[in-house]
Amino acid sequence: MLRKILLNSSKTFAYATRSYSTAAQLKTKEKYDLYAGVLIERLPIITKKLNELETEVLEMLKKIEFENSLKSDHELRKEKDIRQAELIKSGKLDKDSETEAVSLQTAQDFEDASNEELAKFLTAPRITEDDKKNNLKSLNRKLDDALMLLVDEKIGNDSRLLLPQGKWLEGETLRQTAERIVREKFGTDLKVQFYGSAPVGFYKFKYTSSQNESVGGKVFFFRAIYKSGNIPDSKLKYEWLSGEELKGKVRDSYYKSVESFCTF
Amino acid sequence: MLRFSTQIISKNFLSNVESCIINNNIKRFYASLYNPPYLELMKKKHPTYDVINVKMTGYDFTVLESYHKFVHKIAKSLDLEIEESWAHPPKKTKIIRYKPNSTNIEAEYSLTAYERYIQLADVESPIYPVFLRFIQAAIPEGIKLSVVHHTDLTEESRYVPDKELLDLKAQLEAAGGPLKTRK
Repeated sequence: MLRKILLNSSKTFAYATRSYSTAAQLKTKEKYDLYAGVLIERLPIITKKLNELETEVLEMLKKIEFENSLKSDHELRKEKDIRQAELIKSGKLDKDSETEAVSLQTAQDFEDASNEELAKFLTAPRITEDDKKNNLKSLNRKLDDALMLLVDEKIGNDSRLLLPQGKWLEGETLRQTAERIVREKFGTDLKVQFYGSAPVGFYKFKYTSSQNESVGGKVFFFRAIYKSGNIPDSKLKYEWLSGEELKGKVRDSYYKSVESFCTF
Repeated sequence: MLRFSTQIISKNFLSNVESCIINNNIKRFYASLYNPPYLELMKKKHPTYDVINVKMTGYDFTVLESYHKFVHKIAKSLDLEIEESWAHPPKKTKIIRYKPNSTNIEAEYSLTAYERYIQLADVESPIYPVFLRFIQAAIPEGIKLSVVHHTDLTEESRYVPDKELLDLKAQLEAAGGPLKTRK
């Protein structure tokens, strides 16, 4: 009886050990293959364009800030120069004695020179050439969006555009599988930074044609950021797509599993 | 009552598995008898990063400060322990552009690079990449984000050296050092 009390107390502590039971029948479990998938993102390079409301609000806030602000050094100098010039013009001030303030470059001159320099400065275009050509293989498009790498994976007889994935092999961790996939598919030139060893997403699929004993596969996705390097121009069909483009090119069921970590 | 029970239970009475379960349960009972339960519950369930510094640098002061506020808010909402949140003295640089083939100054620019730090303690390893991706998604223009370990150098560069004090000390050294005997 004492033995029963102490053994039963293990249930209240929610212990992990399983009791051996020879009488129970083991349920036939479906076997799934384990895959590791990688989301390689190229982070956005420029910030997004402000919409109408945002630009209006920004303009208004700028005006309010300007009205509430005090005069800057440059503005004070400009006013002082104007006053001095007027005094010299009207003859009230001796030109030679007050030369310490009349520097080689007046405030107005400085302002003009600065404006000229600004006009000469060319900003890089927001919409690049690759944007216009819609070159999906290039990284130089959609600079304000995060681009994700998708490859043509062979599934059964047909090939589909998916996040790169590969089968897990014995003796390695899932993260090591993910790193191996990146090396194998894209070569050693592509440098990525993996974000942690914990997967960020999950997708389950069933094989159309039965292979060995497994019914299907379960993919665990890992997050990685593109650092540098190029994908060698091989027969590999890949695309760098943004969130909205991804939605259109991938199956609904796949998108459902993937959108939680893909779209930011 | 429990002490009596441990005496009567011997290895011959129970199997190995069962005696293991009982011993562990007794230990747990003793552990929670004299210690409050929150000590166990407050322990993190995943391995943690000890102390990490989120460093933000930029030339635009207002944008940097608002981003600093944002990172603080995100860390708070993810229940991360924010140890400290501070600013470093700004680094001033002067860029002088000369006219070609002369030393006449064409243009002079003075820039100040501001730095802000947020120190987080005991960040759980699965949470950290989520936090990092989150703050990276919202970086404004001109801000450089980096996550570093806390070093002695970081702590030292936080303070502006007292020029007067250093000058006086140098004068003292030049004069022959401090008095060795008491007056």
